[in-house]
Amino acid sequence: MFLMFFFSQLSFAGAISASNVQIRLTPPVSKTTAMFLTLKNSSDKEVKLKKVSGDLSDNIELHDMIMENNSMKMRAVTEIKIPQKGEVILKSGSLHVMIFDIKKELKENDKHKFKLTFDNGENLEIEASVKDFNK
Amino acid sequence: MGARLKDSIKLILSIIILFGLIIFAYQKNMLNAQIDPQNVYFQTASGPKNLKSFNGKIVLLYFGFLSCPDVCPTTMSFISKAFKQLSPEDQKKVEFIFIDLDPKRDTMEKLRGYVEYFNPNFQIFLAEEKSTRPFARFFGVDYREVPLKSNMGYTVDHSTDIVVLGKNGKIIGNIHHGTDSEVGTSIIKDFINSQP
Repeated sequence: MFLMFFFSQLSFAGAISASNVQIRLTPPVSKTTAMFLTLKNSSDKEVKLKKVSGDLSDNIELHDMIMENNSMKMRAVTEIKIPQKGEVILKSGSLHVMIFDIKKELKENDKHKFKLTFDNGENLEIEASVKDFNK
Repeated sequence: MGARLKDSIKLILSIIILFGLIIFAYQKNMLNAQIDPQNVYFQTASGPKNLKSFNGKIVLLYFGFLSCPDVCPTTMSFISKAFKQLSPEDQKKVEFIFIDLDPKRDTMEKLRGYVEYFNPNFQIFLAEEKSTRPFARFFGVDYREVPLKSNMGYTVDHSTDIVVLGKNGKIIGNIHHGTDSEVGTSIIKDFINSQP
């Protein structure tokens, strides 16, 4: 059982909550973008994010970026750990949700829903806002 | 006596062949190092060009590709903001060139849709890998196709710095990934002022 708050950004499901969920607005020709958010774990056991799904795309993956000697490497990861009583921030240049083969053109301030699946059996529905990081 | 002579001849021939290979490899390397980036031609949105077309301006070179979901959009966003903060006179003194690292997937049409979205005056350089790779290497930019266990197939790891060329086409510095756009504007202005 989980509660949905209608604050624009906050969602709860059991131990995990998400906030600041944003999708980067990219040019229409680009079918790839990234989603950033903060995940908090209020339980005293580490929880892992395993999967993200939504209407915007059938191809959503978890990725990490590693900077080595001024060279940027991107790698798909199978899970993202949220430490017990802690948080993980998915952001540019770091862990993020990669969305490709986008099915709808992105427009600033549009909202898109996603479902996050965790290894403890929890699911969390979140809503992301499309943000123009060029402004 | 005959057997020893044969052995000596074999030995000498092996040494000659070995030397030949070494010289060949060395020359090949030397040729790579001696590439003149000013003469390498690329496709652009307005026909084939090389760096000489931009002599007389400060040139910002950035090496990227379209399927890059985070680094390249961040850099494009940074550079487009930094440009907007320059005066119109200063903007005329600078060119930004996006050099594509993924000619297998990226077409000029898609590149235009992407790069010109950030600024319609930004330039695009597109060429086959055999031209792009030594060009990139000359500017200290490394890149590598990396297969991904992902529907994306592969990504391209690449250096993220923007390389800055002076009016004569020589390297005068670079701008690191993650620089704030206001700082970027002031760095670009410094480069402009350093080149009377």
